[in-house]
Order: sequence, then C-alpha cells, then structure tokens
Amino acid sequence: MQHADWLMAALMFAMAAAILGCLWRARRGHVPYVRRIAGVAEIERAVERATEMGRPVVFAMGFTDIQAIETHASLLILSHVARLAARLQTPLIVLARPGNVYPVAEETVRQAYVAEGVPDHFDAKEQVRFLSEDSAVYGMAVARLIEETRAGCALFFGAFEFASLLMTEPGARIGVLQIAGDPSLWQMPFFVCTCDKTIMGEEYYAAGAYVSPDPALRGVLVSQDIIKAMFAGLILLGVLAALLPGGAASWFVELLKHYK
Amino acid sequence: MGRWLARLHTLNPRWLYLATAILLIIPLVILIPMPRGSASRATRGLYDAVEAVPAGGIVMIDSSWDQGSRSENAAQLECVVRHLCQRRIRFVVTSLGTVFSPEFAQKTIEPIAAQAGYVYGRDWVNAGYVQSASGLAPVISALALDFHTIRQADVRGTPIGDLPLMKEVRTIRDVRLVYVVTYAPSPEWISFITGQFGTPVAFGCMSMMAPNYYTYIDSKQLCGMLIGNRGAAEYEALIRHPALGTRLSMAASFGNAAVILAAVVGNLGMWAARRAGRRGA
Amino acid sequence: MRRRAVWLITFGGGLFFLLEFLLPARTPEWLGGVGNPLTPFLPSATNFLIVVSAMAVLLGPLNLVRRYLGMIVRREQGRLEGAVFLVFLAVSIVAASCEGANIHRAFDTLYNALFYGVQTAFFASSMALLAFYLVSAAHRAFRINNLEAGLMMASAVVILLGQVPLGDWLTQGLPDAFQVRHAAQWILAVPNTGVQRAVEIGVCGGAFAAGFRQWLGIGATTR
Repeated sequence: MQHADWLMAALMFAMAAAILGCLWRARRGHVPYVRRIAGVAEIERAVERATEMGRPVVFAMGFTDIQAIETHASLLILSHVARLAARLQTPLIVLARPGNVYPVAEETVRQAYVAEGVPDHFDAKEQVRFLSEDSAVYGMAVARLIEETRAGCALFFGAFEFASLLMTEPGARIGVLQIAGDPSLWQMPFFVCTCDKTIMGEEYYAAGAYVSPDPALRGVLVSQDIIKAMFAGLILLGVLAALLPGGAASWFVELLKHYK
Repeated sequence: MGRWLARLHTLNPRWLYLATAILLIIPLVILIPMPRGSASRATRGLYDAVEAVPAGGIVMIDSSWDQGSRSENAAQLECVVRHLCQRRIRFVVTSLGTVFSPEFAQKTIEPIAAQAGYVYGRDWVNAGYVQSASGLAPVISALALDFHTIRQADVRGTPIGDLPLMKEVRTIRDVRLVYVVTYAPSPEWISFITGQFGTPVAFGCMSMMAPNYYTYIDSKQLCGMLIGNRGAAEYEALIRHPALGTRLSMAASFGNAAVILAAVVGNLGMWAARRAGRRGA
Repeated sequence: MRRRAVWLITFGGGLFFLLEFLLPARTPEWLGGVGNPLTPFLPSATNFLIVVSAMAVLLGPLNLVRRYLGMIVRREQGRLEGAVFLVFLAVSIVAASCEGANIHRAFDTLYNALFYGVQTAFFASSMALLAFYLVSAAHRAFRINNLEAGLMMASAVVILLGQVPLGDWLTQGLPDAFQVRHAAQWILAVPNTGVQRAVEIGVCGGAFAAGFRQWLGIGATTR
C-alpha cells in the first residue's frame, strides 16, 4: 500500500486519538494501574544480582537497523539498564550489530552515565562494542563474550534472527541469568527454552514505557489495550456480518470496499 | 536402575552432541527409503501453478537466500527450476536479499539448466542483486512496473536490454508466476504483485517460518508454498525426481528424532531424580 | 537548544513521511485531481536517510580496529585473536576490492578462497551448531512439570514428527485421516495461526504507539 485509503486513515486517526487521550489523562494525574510485567521487573533484580556477584551485565541489541521501531524500543530498555549499571557501578557491556545503531547505542549509554552523575566511569571503547554485521558471527561472538566474562546476567532486546539460539544456549548451559525481549514470534520458542524470563509481543513495546522515569507514559500503555479492543470489535463486527443470512450484511462489505 | 536413570537428568551435553552427530550422519551416508505421504495442499498449489504456465512462458524467481538458509532453500530452488526446465518454461532470477544471493542462485541453477539444454540469455537470465536499502516495498513496486529501471545489467555485467529473454520481460505482466525463495519471504510480494497485478505468487521458506504464511494459503493470496526440506521432497516426488530435498528431509527426520529423544531422556532423568529424592527423604 | 533541534528534525521528518502516506496519490476530480505534492520528494528523502546511515557504517569497524590494536599494543589476553582479525580484515579488503577488476587472477582466487572456503564454510558450521544446541536445549528445557507443559510437549512431538518422513513411516499403517502429518498441519494452520494473528495485532498496536511516542518526542532517550 503506497498511500492510505480512507479505512486505513480512519484507523490511524482513531489509534492516534486513543494514544493522545490516554497521555492527556495521565498528564493530568490519572495514571492508571499497570500490572507487573514479570520480565521487566526481573531486569532490575538481574542487574542487582550481577552487582553482588561482581560480574558484568551483557546487553545484546537486536538485528534491526536504526530506522526500525524495534531498535528504538530496545534503546529505551538500554537506557534504563545503563542507568541502573551506572548507579550500582556494575560493569556493562553493550553489543550492537547494525553499524548505524552502534553510535546511537554509545550515545544512549553515555547519557545514562551523565544522568547518574558518573560520566568518568563510561569507557566507550570497552563498554559499547560493534561485533559484526554478520548474524552468525554476532551470535557466536555474543556467546563467547558471555562465557569468557562469566556474565552476571545477559539481556537480549530486539528483533533477532536465527542466531538467537547461538547466543543464548551457551549462557544457559553455564547458568547465566538471561532475559530476552523480542516483538516477533519467530525466535520466541528458542528464547523460552534458554532464558529465565522472556518478554514477547506487545510487552516488548510496553517495557520501554514501563521503565521510563515519566509515569505519564504508563497511560500510553492503556492506549495499546484500547487499540486492541478496537480491532477485536472490528473483527467481531465482521464475523457477525458474515454470519447474517442471505447477504443481509453485504452493505457493510460494500461500505468497506467503497472507502478502500 | 533408578540411580542410573537419575543421572540422565544432568547428562553432560557432550553425549547428546555425539548422539546427534551420529544420528545426522547416518541418513547422509546411507540412503534410507522411507514412505512419503501425499503432497500437502501448499506444495501441490505451487506444482499446479507451474503446470498452468504454458511452455515458453516466463516465470520470475526471487532467490534471496545465502549460506544461512542454504540447507532448505537450495533444495526448494533446485526442484522448481528442474520442473521449469522439464516444462520448457523460461525464467528470470533476481535477488533482493543479500549481495551473495546471486552467486548461490547461479551455482544452483547452472548445472540444472545446462543439463536441460537451456541457453543463458535466451532461456534463463540471472539479473543479479537488487539493493533494497529503503525497504522491499519500493523495490518490488518498481520491479513490477519496469524491470529494466531496477537492473541495468545481469550478474555477468551484460546490459539487460541485450539479452533476448529480457526483451520480452518489461513489467510483471510479462511473467506468469513469481516464486520467492528465501529464509522468510516478505508478504509485500503478495500486496504488490498479487494484490495489484493479479500475478500468482508462491513462496519457498524455512520450515520454522511457514506458520507466518498459512493465512495467505488459506485466503488463496499465495498460490502455493514449499515448506522447508519436506516441501522440496514432496515437490521432487511430484516431478518424479528425488534429489537434494529428499535426502535432506531424511536427515531432518533423524534430527527431529534426536530432539524428541533428548526431551524424553531429560524427562526420564527428572522423574527418576524426583523419585530418588523422595525415597531419600 | 540541541534538544529542541533534535525534536524539530524528528517531528518534521516524521510529519513528511506521515503526510505523504496519508495524502492520496491523486485527489478526486471534484477536488481538482491534483497529485500528491510530497511524493516527488520521497526518493530524495529516502536517499538522504541512506546517506546518513552510511556515515555511521564505518564507525563500527573502526571501534573493532581500535580495540584490537589496543589489545596488541598493551599485550593483553586475546591479542593473538586480535592480530588474526586485523590481518584477515586487511586481506579481505584487498581481495574484495581487486576481485573482478581484472588486475590479477590471484585476487580472484584469494576472494573465492576467503568467501567460499572460509566464510561460507563458517556460516554453514554455525548454522549446523543450531541443531546440536536445539538438542541440548530440548534436554534441559522440555520438562513436563504440569498440564500446560505436557500439552506443549505433546504438540511439539506431533509437529516434529509430522514435518518429516519419519512421521509418515510411523503412522503409515493408519488411515490417511489419522496420519500424523494431518494433525501437525492442523495444529500449525488453526490454533497456531490464530494465536500468531492475535499476537501480531497486539504487536502492531504496540509498535504504532511506540512509533507515535517516538515521533512526538515523548520519553526520548537522547537529549
């Protein structure tokens, strides 16, 4: 689809209205209750555990480049983890695969250390590393780094390809605490088998808002539920329309076709 | 016995790796005949789509795989190219995947085409890599509207316009079928090719990616699909030419058996360890 | 000031692409039938993005070179691997640059040796590792501790057998409708597809919300 049709435009406006409405309510003080996302809560415990053990935290970013929203969601989590690591003075190693994500990741970690008041503790060359553009090389290098440094915990956030099992199995075998977040379902079975906690589907995007210092962003999480309810309602409408006898709902189908 | 079984709970992975290696080598060394069930609906859909193309018609193949998914995509490409050659259907190959994809496609297709007496340039062309830095959608759309603006030369550097086959292929309407074989084909092929021009599209994908595309098979937006090595093996059975797909699907059988055995061994060990623990308590 | 400039560029860029998508290719005749005014600028905008991204391409390899050179100079552990990496980097750059340029056949041979002999073989080996890792992961993680795990295990066995000729061989004596491949196909095509669609709807909503937040600069990580 190169340009939006009326239906697509209407849906986009409805979704935008839901997001802005929830944000406005949250900014006026109506911050909704958001249930605990197990994987996200575990991140803080994982970093604390690594601190107690005196071992580094390894953060591996996904394979999508800077234009993808998955990367930006991953950077939000990275910012949170980097602030935790800076506050607790835990060694942090960030691994980036796409070349154009590497400088943004470095800047994100740098700003986290500046925000925590310890800019001198940040060593760009050692803490943020570009490994390879090749998926297999990246996966193997991440696994080797986790094994060599005996990481206290390993965090994998982003959209990963087949290299997910290459990255996570060696760490699982030696008992490293691993948490993975991936919005797509392709690699989720492998992450579930090898990681202690997984964040899948829309929870991945919710995690960024969940860990943000701005509580109003939690209001935006409610908008995701509203959007889902919208789609569920449309699906139900379509099913009911299809079930009506003798083409009684054909007007509905024609209406959709007309505005396509 | 119970204590021995309990040791399986914490079995050293090296024993598992050794067992897996032995299980995987056996079918590659010894050809083990196994019955094959009838072809799935998805495989048959692609077969019927190729059968519907008249002799002399043109098919476009997007071969966007490289060494990562070679184990499944190579067989999927081979069997379809073999079928096209059997039916004297001409084809154009493009690669929207990685820079290395055209080389893999060339090495796979060349021996089959040569054996069938196909002449490069007249019966088949490898148009090479098409960069899709800003996403596949604009590239697929441009490819459909005017192929010659997307690729000016083939993989050997010959100007596209000089190739006899390419004089007949300008837009997507000049091809009768598009076959996309890669690790995970993009659904944008369906939106831009089938959706806008009505040209049938078929996929060849890794077996773990196949569940993403069942919806398109059900809605008939995809005319067919080869799912992993099994799909290639089924297709080879349909064209009566067992080859790489058949052999690799036998290896996959043993591989899957190894996974199931490992799970069974792990559970046996867990239960035995629990029983031993309860008795000890 | 910097923060405002970043926000302005982000918002402006996002607005351009959003409007280009929302506005039709051509307005209806009763509105004058004019074309989308932003579409002619789309290739330039996309090329600009590619150029900006390309600027960052060298930064990653430079980081690698700096790290390994530092390890060699400081005689740290791992300096041998670093030296091997730097040598291969230099040789690959030379081989790839000279390959196909008809300078000397030796470069073509070197390129083929590096690509087909080393890289392709390495890639195939690392993919093969997945099979072994899958077996050890299955041994460690596929434990039937409760009903849900049992159901998952049963469906995994059905699908594993249904996707390969082994399943056909094991159930060959049964009527066609009871053969394991039909059960596997049903599991993949019906419940699995339904769940995938449901998760995809949630993911799309989440991605839209995240992208919208990013466009408006709400909760931005960089300042």
